[in-house]
Parts: sequence; C-alpha cells; structure tokens
Amino acid sequence: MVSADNIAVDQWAGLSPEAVHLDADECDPYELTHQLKELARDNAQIAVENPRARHNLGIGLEMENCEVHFLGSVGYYCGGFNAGAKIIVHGNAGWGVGEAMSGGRIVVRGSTAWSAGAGMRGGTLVIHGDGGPRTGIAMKGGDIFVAGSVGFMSGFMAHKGKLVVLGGAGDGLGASMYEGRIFIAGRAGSLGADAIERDLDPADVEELKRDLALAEIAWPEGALRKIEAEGRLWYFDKHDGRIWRSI
Amino acid sequence: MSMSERSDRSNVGAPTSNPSGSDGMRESPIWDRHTIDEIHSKAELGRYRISGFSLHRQIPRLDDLVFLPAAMTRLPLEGYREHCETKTVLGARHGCAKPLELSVPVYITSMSFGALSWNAKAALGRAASAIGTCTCTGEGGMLREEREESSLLVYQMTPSRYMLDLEHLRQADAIEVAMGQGAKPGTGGVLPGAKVADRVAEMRTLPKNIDQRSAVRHPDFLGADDMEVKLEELRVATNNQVPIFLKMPATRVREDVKIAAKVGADVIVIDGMEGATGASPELLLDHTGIPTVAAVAAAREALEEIGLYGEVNLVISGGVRNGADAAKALALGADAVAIGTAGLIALNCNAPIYLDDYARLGTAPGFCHHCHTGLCPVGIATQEPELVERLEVDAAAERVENFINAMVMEMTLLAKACGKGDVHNLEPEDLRALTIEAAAMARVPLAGTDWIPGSANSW
Ligand SMILES: Cc1cc2nc3c(=O)[nH]c(=O)nc-3n(C[C@H](O)[C@H](O)[C@H](O)COP(=O)(O)O)c2cc1C
Ligand code: SF4
Repeated sequence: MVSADNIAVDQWAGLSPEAVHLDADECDPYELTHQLKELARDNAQIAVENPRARHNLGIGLEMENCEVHFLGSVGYYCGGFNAGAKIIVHGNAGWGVGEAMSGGRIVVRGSTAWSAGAGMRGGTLVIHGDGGPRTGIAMKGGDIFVAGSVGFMSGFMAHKGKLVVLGGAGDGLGASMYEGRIFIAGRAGSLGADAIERDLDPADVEELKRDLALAEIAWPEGALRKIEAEGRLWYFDKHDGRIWRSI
Repeated sequence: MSMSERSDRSNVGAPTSNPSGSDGMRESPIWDRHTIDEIHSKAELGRYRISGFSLHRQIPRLDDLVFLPAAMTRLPLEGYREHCETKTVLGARHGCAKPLELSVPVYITSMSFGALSWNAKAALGRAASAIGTCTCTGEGGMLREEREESSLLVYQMTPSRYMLDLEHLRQADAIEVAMGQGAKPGTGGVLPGAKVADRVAEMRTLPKNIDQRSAVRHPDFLGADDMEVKLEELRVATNNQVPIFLKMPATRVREDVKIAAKVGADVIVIDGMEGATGASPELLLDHTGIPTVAAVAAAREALEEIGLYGEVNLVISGGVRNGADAAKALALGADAVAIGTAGLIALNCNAPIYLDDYARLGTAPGFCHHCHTGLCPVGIATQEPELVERLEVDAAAERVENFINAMVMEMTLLAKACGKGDVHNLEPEDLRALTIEAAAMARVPLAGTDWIPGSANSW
C-alpha cells in the first residue's frame, strides 16, 4: 500500500509511519465506527482514507487514547456524539459536525457547513476555515474556536459554552441565549434578539489567550468583543410586550 | 416578574350553562363567562394565557364510535375463559437488536421531568415496569429515578436536546425524535419559572427559575433528506440496538406520515389535538391540530398507500381515557396507544384531597388544569418538595398499574365480544359511527347505514 502518494498525504496530515489505515470505501458508517473502536490503542493514529464527504463518519467514539484522521472532506454529522476521541478532518465538514459531543476534540482543517457543534455539551471543536450558519446552535457546554467567519444565527439559544470567532458573523448572532458566551473579532451582520455586547475583562483575555494557543489559532489583530444575553427574554414582563409580540 | 409569579386567572369553576331559573339572567353564547374572563385576564397580563391539561371545547372523538360485537355473523370468544393476546412489538422495521416488546398495547407517553415531579416520574416508571410496558422521558433529559424504575425507557430527543449525549443515548431502550405534540403543534416547549428548580435547571443547562421557552426547530436538520441522515446517525451511535420513534402532532397527517416513514422511523407516534400538556399557550390547545379520531384513520391510510402499513408501527395518543378509546384506536389502525393524562389522573391528578390548595389556585378537583403554576395540590406537576412528598410513590404506582390493567381488560373484553383472539385483530369493520362527523373522520359508516361521508366506496 505504500506509494509515493501515500507518503505525501501522511506527511501533510502529520501521520506517523505507524498510523493504521482504514478505507471508507470499504465499510459503511456502522462498520467504520466499529473498526475505529477495535483499532483504538494508546497513542495510535488511525487514518481513514476516501471519506468522500460521506455522512455519519466517526459517530459516538469515546476512546481518548488515539487520534482519528479523515483524509479528505466529510459529510453530515461527522464526530456526532463524540465523547472523548480526537478527530482531525483534513478537509471540509458537512452539517452538524460534532453535534451532541460531550468530550474530546474535533479539528476541522477546512470549513464547516450549518450547525457545527449543535447542542454540544462538552469538548472542543476547532474550525480552521469558516463556520457555516448556526455554528454553536443550542450548545450546552464546551468550546468552539473558528479561525474564519461564521454564518447567520450562530450561537442561537446557546445555553452555556463558548464560541470564539476570529472573523465576522452573519445576522442574528447570539440570538436568545442563556449563559452561552460569544467572543468575536470581526463584524457581525447584526446581533440577535436579546444579545448584548459587553466589555471583556482581564480574566476573559487570559482565558482566550490560553484557548487560542491550544487551538493553534493566532491571536487576532483587532480587539475581541464579548456577546452575551441581556436576559430580557428569560422572564415575561408585560412592559416588554412589544418584543414578545414579534419574536 | 416571572410569568409564574402572576396568577393566571384562567380558571372558571362554574358550569357553562346558566341555570334555567326565572332570575332573568341570560348568558350570551358569544360572550360567555369564559370569554369575558379570558379578555379580562389578557387585559391584565398583556400576553396570551398559558394553561396545562387539555382543550376546552367539544370536538369529534373516538367516543363517537361504537363497536359491533358478534351476533349472527361472528362468533364471540368467551370472556374470562378464552385468551385474548395483548402482546405488542414496536420497532422491528429496521432489524434493530431490541425492538420494544410490550405485554400490552398501552404505554406511558413522554412527559418531561420538570413538567412532572420526580415522584410522579418514578411512580409512572414503576407502574409501567410492573405491567411490562414502556415509559418515555419527555423533553427534560433522563431522570435517574426514572431510568432506575423503568425497565423499558424511551428517550426523547427534542429540538432542545437537553442532556443529550452518548452516555444518555446508550441508556435508552428506544429513541423518540420529537417533531411536536398535539397540544401545541408548531411551537416549542414552555416551562414556567416556578418549575425550573435546581435539578430541572441543571438537567436542562438553564439559569434557575427562568421562564423556559424551548426551541421548535431541530438545530441540525431541517427537511426530510437531512432527517434521514440524522436517523442513521442515531442508529450508528446506538449500534442499531434500539428502535427509533418519531412523534408528531396531528396536522397534515397523511403527508407527514409518509415523510416520517420515508426518513426511516420505525414507529410513528401521532398525537391528536386533544393531547395534553404541562403548559401551553391556551389558544393552541383549542385551535390547532386535528382530532385523534381523524388522525388514526388518516395515518393508517397513508401507510397503506405506500405499502408500509404493518411494517412501520403506528402509535396514537391524545385523549385516550379508557379501554374503549384504546380499542377503537387499535381497530382504526394503531398498534398501540400512549397515555398521558389518564395516567396522571390515576396517580391522583384532580383527586378530591388537599381542597384548600386547589382553592388557593382558584380551582377545585374536577376543574384543575393548573400544571403550569407549579403548585399542583397533589404533588404531580410541581417541583416544590413539600408538595412532591404528597405523592407516595408506592401507592401511586399501584394505582397506575391497576388502571392500566383495567384498561387492558376493557380492551380484551371488547375484542373478545367482537370475536378476536388478539386485540390487534380489531379492524375498522368492527366499528360504526354515531355522528356524521365521526363517520367522515374515522372513515367508518354511520351507524345503521353503509354511508361514509366523503367516500366514493361506501360499504
Ligand atoms: C405534564 C405533561 C408533560 C408533557 N411533556 C411532554 C414532553 O416533554 N414531550 C412531548 O413530546 N410531549 C409531552 N406531553 C404530551 C404527551 O406526551 C402526550 O402527547 C399527551 O399528553 C397525550 O394526550 P393525553 O394526555 O390525552 O393522553 C406532555 C403532557 C403532559 C400532560
Ligand atoms: S391536579 Fe396537578 S397534575 Fe392535575 S391538573 Fe391540577 S396541577 Fe395539573
């Protein structure tokens, strides 16, 4: 199997010669998840070739001891329900990458489509390109770092957790959040309902410096801004009737 | 001020009709006391009213149908002596390792911890286990007590995805993807602040005591094509061990059922407009969705049209009160019924005890629909520890167990009278309608005729 091509890909993906290779052309999503679990060994690297943007790759993995590399783009829900694995996508990801994850780390070298990290409860999602619309929607914990920009409705109804965006955002950023926090360097098309800009405090800056260093994303040139919920939608008040009527 | 701190003046305990005395008082049917009260309370609240329980208007129901037991053309089975099968298997369609094997075609529907107290959840779970049937988590995540008490627990995945992760998904005996419910189609959940107590807030990852209004659209799929992929993801995550239910409100049933079957649901749960709620905008209860009796017939037809009737299982809920309602739903095409309110009433809902506490809510046993206040007098729909303690789990579980057993006995009584050795053999031909409306909706002839309104081929 070792050809000049393979060696080039391995180097580009940072794979060691000992990395185990699987071929996504040869197994369905069930079989792939099963094989990944079987092959998990301490410090192992498992490289999945030919992902070809297939859906449901690497679902429900919990092994914390190894890295799973997808050598190309993945389809919908890659790394969904991840509970501990480190997953690296050497390409782009379709909808809902890392949705419902509760632990581990997913790194997408390219960009992601809608709903990256939807409903996640823990773990870290790093996007080196752009995030699509609704990045971090309904998140309940964990961190999302995006080196590029995110699309509309990102951070929608974020309960907890942190979304850090080094580029800009589309409309409706951080609409109707609870205790989610968004940090953004670029411009947002508009802030969503009940989203409000607050000053960063020194603790935020410390936290973000650590985070970005770990995510291998450069500290932005401009200042970061913090977006949180004002909390006006948390309780009904008849004096806010006009807001409630229209949303 | 939180919405739950305000009293919803939504209770009117008095009867609707005016006593026919000669006191000269006549109530307008347009501006009756309920309507007047509703306007007064909106004028004070500045918003629509929120209510628990079910609707407040007359609609065509399963009640409007009757069975035709055996006489000359059929042979009945002996009551008490001959066996009538009630075993029900749900979710075998995609060959999952563990379809739900229920001893009866009745189970406890999704009612969230949060809307219900921990004791209510535990009691329902214990009763269901004793019967050999399942219960469902509802929207608020998986309560430890409920998991422990329930031998078969359906885990609901709502748009809010509260507490949804691998650890909890793995503990599910089935997954129910919620696309809405009959009490409030097209809208998200409502949990007033009084019920967002510590544990509820933690399980839902919410700040304490806020008026929770949960999302209506799922965060990571929009249409049928995405959903098909999503359902596969759930199967991969659970290694195809457990079946996938898809619950939806009864609205465009014929189309919706076909789509649900296409995206890969093993079990389709249809919740009619009479389906109850812990808290819903009141107008949605009365003005949205179609009645259960219409929904069953439409769902069956839809599955027949695509050749999947019998392969995709059908569960019906919404206003199922007794064995007669349940048997009629089965005859019309359901494989099982799910019950909510009937189970809560068996627990003690609206029982004539703690009268002062009903009065404090401005209501009385028989009229209470105040689950949304969080001050349930009998400890069912509350998170106040002193109230929750009023619901004794052992005794409450026994009442629910008795009730479901009684309900199933009623079903077999009817089935045997109709000559069926299995409740699932009941069929539309065993039914006639008492009203033209029910005949049209259920697609069964009006009693004494062979006329099905709106149908080209009457019987
Ligand atoms: C207190 C309460 C809480 C409920 N919570 C949920 C829920 O979390 N998710 C859901 O899909 N339906 C929920 N429902 C609706 C029920 O699952 C079911 O559709 C309905 O109650 C059936 O009608 P029935 O009560 O007439 O049997 C709830 C109903 C009640 C009464
Ligand atoms: S008694 Fe409790 S459960 Fe029943 S309607 Fe009243 S508040 Fe709801």
